[in-house]
Amino acid sequence: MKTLIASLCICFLLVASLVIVNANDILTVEADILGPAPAVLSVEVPDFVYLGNVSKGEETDKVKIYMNNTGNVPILVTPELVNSDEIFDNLYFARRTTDSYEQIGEWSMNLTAPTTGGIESDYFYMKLDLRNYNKNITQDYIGKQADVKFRVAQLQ
Amino acid sequence: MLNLELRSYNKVLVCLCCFLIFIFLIGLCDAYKISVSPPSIYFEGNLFEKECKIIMVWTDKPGYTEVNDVWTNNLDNKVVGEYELVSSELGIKLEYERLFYLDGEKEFKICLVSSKEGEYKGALIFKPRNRGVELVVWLNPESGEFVKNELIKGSEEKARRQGISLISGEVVKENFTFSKIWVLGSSILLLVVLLFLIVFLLRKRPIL
Repeated sequence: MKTLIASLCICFLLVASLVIVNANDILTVEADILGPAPAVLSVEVPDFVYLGNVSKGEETDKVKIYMNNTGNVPILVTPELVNSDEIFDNLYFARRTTDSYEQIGEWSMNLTAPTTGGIESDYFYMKLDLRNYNKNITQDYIGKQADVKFRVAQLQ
Repeated sequence: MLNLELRSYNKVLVCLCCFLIFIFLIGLCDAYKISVSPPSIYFEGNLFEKECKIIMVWTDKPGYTEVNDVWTNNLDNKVVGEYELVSSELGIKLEYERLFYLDGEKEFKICLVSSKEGEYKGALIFKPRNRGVELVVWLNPESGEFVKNELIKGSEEKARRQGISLISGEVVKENFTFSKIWVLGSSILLLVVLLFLIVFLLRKRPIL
């Protein structure tokens, strides 16, 4: 009788311990481990800018242009004329009014990466400067246009 | 009576003018947004081995987008306008859509086969038609182990900056084994203690 009770107790304990081990074994832990967000190059630029009237030997008012870095990497923005134009070759850019103006093709600007999920907005100034334009303008060119492209690349 | 009619006409005219100015201002404020990911891609395949990558491109306004690639031998050159080599000059064959209609999001596939060794880098330029922006994706085909290591290092640094921990599989496995051993060990210990207790109690009980 004593042996039977002892054996039963041992069996019970064995099973109980196995159950304890098993209960720990089936504990499932779940977590979403997030890696670094994929790098995104994204930008928002205005489609059209009106510079106003200008005559030879004068310059237009400076126009403030906003640009948004909507990605998550720092970018380099370089304006370029799509087709060379003797008038619009005289477009000048400066990041701030206190900076000296540089001609299109020689100027570029950095935009830092926005904070997570945000937009980094910055601006620069543009003007058409015909003070050093040597050729004659014999007639009015109302609504003369040129296409400027902003080339945007990740800052290396 | 006539005055009243004239006044109402003036009001209508003013409203119309305001509406037109509003529409005109909306037109002036119009902006275009385009995105690509990733902004740099690395081809690490061997010579004569075709390797393909996917670039995600998306925009908020549909339209045609042209794509072209330019290359340079000068690895320090960061001015895309000065990249004057074409891929064939470097023994590179590139396959991708030169023109596509982008409406929302697109998976842009680019495949590269290199037949010549050398150090060069390139730029893939996305040019939306009639828009004032073009996006550059850097191409570094001669990456090798160096760039691979740099990429890993870069992602670790980025993760550190963003406060994200990198968990390696090995560490997680080690922790799991330890917890299992701990549970098993403590169970056995408990079992032994209980056995001793039972034996002790049974010995103490008088035999009937």
